[in-house]
Amino acid sequence: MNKRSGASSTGKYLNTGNGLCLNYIDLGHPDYVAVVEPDTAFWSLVKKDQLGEVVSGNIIVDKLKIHLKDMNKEMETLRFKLKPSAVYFNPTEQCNLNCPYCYIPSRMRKQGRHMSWGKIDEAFQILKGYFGESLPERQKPQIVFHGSEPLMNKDAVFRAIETYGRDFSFGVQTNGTLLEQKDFDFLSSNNVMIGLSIDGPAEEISDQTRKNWNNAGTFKKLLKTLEICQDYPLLSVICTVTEHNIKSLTEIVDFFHAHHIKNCLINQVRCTLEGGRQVKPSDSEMAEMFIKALDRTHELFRQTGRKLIVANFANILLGIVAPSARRLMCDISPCGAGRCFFAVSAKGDVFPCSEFIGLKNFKGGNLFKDNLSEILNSIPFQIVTKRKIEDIKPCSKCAIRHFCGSPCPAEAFEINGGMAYPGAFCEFYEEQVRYAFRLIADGKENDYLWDNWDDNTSEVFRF
Amino acid sequence: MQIMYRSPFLLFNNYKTQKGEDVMKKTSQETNKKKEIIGFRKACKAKGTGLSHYILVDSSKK
Repeated sequence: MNKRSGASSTGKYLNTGNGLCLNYIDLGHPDYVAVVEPDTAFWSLVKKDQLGEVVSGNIIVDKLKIHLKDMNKEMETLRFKLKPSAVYFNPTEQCNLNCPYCYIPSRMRKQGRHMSWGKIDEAFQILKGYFGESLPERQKPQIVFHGSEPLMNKDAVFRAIETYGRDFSFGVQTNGTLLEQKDFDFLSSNNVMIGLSIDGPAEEISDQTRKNWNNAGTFKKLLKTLEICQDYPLLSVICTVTEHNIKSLTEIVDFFHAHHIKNCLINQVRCTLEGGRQVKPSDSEMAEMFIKALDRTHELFRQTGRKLIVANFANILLGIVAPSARRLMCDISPCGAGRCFFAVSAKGDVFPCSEFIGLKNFKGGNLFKDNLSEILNSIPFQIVTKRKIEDIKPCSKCAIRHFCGSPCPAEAFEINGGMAYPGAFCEFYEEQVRYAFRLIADGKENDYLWDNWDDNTSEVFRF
Repeated sequence: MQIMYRSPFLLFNNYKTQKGEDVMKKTSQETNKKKEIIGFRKACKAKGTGLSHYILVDSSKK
């Protein structure tokens, strides 16, 4: 009798009793289908005309059984045993732009406060002390100045980078409108990662969402900023996809590639707040246009030898071929919020992720008033860190549940009313995973990943 | 299974080769097509810390 389930099944048959579970997935590929063991994220692609023979034989099952324990352990570590090592730090509530989909409430962006240098200094001392105890000595924690627009409080941000450069790795996510040559010189000389937000390849598209409080667009200034930064190795660009730019994604890829961008995120708009919901594209259109954009990156790579990595898709691909090598922690369950990273607002309030900053019920405490370890273990944090895919419908029975992770908890909570519900783009993830498997079937997966991505990995198995 | 150490925050591990001219990596395209079963898995020490609003990078790589 199985000690865990109490059932008498010896587990010798697939998909019944205590037997291993192999789900079949049609990929839309001419030759291959996928079989997946969802709990371990084990997969293999099988020729369609040999599916019955292969699955009823022992080839796949034997391989699965050999590595089952290690794969379970790997997923357990990835999902439940990581420690926070990054902070998304908002040095100001203010933003000079009024993008309709922003997850920071407009009253904060318009009338909010800066965090003073004295408070930033105090906050960094607290964070330095916390990470000094929680992380190995060789691991440098990361501080990402995030928004609202961090360069609205430029002097304090730059002073913090100068003062704490030995203690943290730094990044700045900016709308680019306040970044001048001298600022870039400072940031690049300090090895600060720069993330630029650009939503379109031309003024008439970009300016529909990236505009200031007087409704004036920012594309012309963004172009100048891009010219300053474009050859910087630590530059990445984020494009937020809405109904305004959904039809231009391939042109956006052309634009980024022409500007020698090497890394970008083409993110579906988050629907946590009403503004995002109002400009949300449909899942099917998002999937269709996104996949065309991915195809275009591949065409450009074949033509020029230069890759433009779409990091959010690359992360899903990594989740399939090497689950622990994923770089972003949105598409794993529980997500990284509150357990791999957390967010600090300009008032010092601590949230599991920036996405929660507008949702006061998810405040875990205040960095200046409360103990950080207790904040990270507070009820609001636990609600997020304990949101796991096994408790969500329809995700609990979904074969690709560990390639998608059912993001995002803030979105799920606000749209669907609770943590036991999925977020906004279920079908979009289905299509991305199918596309990823088709690439693998055609042997193209490395064309969509960073060169040398698998340095320091070991091969668990290969058919 | 041996889990090996991977550098934290590593997202842009490609620019060593892209600093000058990018070099197209040879792909395994076509080689899989005749295989009855395709399947593989790699492992490393999990260090993911990013979220979709932002790309993290190992600045020590610069």
